[in-house]
Amino acid sequence: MIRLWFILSILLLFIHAEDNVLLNTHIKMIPKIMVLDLKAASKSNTATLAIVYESNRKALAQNIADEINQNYNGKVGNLNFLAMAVNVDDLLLRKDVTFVYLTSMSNRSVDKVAAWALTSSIPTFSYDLSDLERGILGSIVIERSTIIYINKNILKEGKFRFNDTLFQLARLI
Amino acid sequence: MIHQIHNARISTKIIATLIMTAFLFFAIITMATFTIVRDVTMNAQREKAALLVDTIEASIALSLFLGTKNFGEKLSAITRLNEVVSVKIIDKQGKTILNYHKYKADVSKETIQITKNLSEPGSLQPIGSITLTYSGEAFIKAMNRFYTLYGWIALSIAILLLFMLTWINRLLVPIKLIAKKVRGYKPGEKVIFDIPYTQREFRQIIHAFETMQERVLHYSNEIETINQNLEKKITEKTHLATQHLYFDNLTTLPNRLKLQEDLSVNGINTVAILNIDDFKEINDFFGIDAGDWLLKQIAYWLGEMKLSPYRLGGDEFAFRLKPGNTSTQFRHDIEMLLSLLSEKLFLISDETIHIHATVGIAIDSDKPLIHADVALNKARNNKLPYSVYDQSEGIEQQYQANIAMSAQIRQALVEHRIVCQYQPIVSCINGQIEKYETLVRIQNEDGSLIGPYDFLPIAQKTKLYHHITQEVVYQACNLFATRHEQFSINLSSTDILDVRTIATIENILRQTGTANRIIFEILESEGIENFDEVALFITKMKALGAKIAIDDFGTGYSNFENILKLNVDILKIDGSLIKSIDQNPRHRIVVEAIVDFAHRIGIDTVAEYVASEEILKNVSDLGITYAQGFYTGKPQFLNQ
Repeated sequence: MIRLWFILSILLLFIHAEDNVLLNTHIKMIPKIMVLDLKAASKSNTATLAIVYESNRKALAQNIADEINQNYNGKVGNLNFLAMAVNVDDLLLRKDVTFVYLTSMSNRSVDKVAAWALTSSIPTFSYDLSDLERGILGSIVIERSTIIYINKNILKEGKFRFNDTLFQLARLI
Repeated sequence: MIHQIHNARISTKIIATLIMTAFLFFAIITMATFTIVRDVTMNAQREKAALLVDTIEASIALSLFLGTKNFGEKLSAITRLNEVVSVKIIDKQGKTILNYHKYKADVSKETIQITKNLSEPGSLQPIGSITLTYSGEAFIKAMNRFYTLYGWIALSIAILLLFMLTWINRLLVPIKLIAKKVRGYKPGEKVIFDIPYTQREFRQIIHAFETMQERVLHYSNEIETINQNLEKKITEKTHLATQHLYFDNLTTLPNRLKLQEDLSVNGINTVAILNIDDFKEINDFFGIDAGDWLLKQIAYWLGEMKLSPYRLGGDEFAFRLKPGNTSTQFRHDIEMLLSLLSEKLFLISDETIHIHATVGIAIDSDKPLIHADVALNKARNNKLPYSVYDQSEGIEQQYQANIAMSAQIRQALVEHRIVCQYQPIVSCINGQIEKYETLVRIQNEDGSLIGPYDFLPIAQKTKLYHHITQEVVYQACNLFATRHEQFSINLSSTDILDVRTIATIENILRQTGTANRIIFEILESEGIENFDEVALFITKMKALGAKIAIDDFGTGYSNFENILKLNVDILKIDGSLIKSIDQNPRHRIVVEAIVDFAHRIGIDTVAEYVASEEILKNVSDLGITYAQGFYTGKPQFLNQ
């Protein structure tokens, strides 16, 4: 836990807005992490990758969704998907979401999404690594190399099942 | 090579077999083990490399899939291993994403490369490949350990074989010792086989040899005994053979061979040969056993005379000059011997007989026996009690001449130089030639002629006479087959007694058709001596139509009765009576008697040796039917 606090403190010192490099890395990796979710991978219909935003950050979320759709052309591996920008409040009402990616938002919104996702057993990844402290499943950071962090408590509680190889690469915290 | 292998020592063969077997076995085992070890080691290394790749494959694939490219962290798990030489990651476009290569100076050239495809997690679609180059050093080390191990094994086997070679040689030592002892074995000896540390098989061989030795010894003793007996018998036989060789069986006197050896040893060349006169008559009269008995008595008596006699054979004895005596003494001794012998009485079948002997003496001769024999012949011919060989008399030369003549006769027969002349026999009534007498000659190569008196006596002694007779009969019959006169041919008793000659004559007569004109002239004396055979011949020839004449009738003991019995056709009155008939009244009386006898029995007469007109007139006046002689006609060739 001390280690987690130390890392989050370091990150808060440097991140005050979206880092393009990190965001681009997220854009590239999030669909691929989604396909490693065994529940998503088993879907026969089109999966929904929700890029969740709060109040006035829709444009960013939409840009991210567009970027993903453009990069993957609606398919990653064998999974057809569609990335879309979804408001926090709308998300809580939707039932077709396969995977959730949170842009930067308030702790209150994060808490709502985390609670909803845990209840719905929908994997959530966040731009901010600190969101893992609030119940988000995972995040991606660039340190000396790109590292995937996964909240092992949420992983257990939400009974999420990913391709085993992910755990060889990811760091469970 | 095969021969050498065949003859190689048994130890060599055993060792060679062991070496070959061990080599083959070792080679097969080594090859099999090598293959297995190499494959196992290689596979183990390969599996190890594959395992390493498997270890990182998933995370590498995920990294590649996620595009994190943080391979180094994952790879460090394997790249820290010394065996990992290089790792290469290629994406599905063939672009090298990572090419890690460890620098290591002593890295082995032997490497194992494992390449695995990297698949996308979930969809398992290929997204690239990872190639791991793994060092073969461990493999090489393992193989080196293998080579070392098998080197030691090979060395151990070689040492083992060496020990075996030594052991086998040691095991086979008894064979060499047995062979050495048997090699020097001699029958009769006993070989002791004190062979150390023998195996059961060698003991069996030794036992077999010892058994064989005992048998050989047994047979050797037997053979030794047999040899001793044989040697004894050989000694006896040798003595007997020597006796037979050098001593006369009948008289026990030394024989001719002993005399020859004694002469050659002593260098005494004075010898006398004594021949018992008329011994044949004694043999014929008293029998051979009595003759032998007489010879024994003579031999004994000669021995008593201290002359050291030898028996040369038959009725011949010999003496040689004693060392220290002179030839004059020897001659005197011989004279004394002859004198005493003539007075000595010998007993045969309760009869006492005197015997006489003739002696030939050779004094200081280079051929004493031959010359003594020549002298003996001379003494016999001259009715002398003894004769001494005199080289100046040329008797030996006469013998040489006889030998030469014999060869000449043989040559003449081969070269057809036996020729016939024919002497006319004319009728005393009309003077016409009515018959011819065939006279044989040898024609020399220069054309000169040799008369029958020169060669017929020799031919008679050399068995050539029959050939001459057959040649004469052939020539005469073939000649007179074309003429009308009668012709006569002289036959001797040897011809008449020779069946083959008579058969040949009969054949020639039949072939030429001259049987009714041929007259065979036979000596009266020969007709008497072999009366039965001659009578048979006459009967046979007369049956063919031939006539028979008695040649040289009137000499010797003419027997008219025999003439009557022989049923002859012509009497040829001996020339010795005819040639002096005009001067010797006694001869005339004999001739008259013969002619009268012939007239009375109705046979013709022929006067031989009619050499003059007076003789011809006389024989004509006496009523002789035919005349033959140089006056009436000389011998001549009729076929030239």
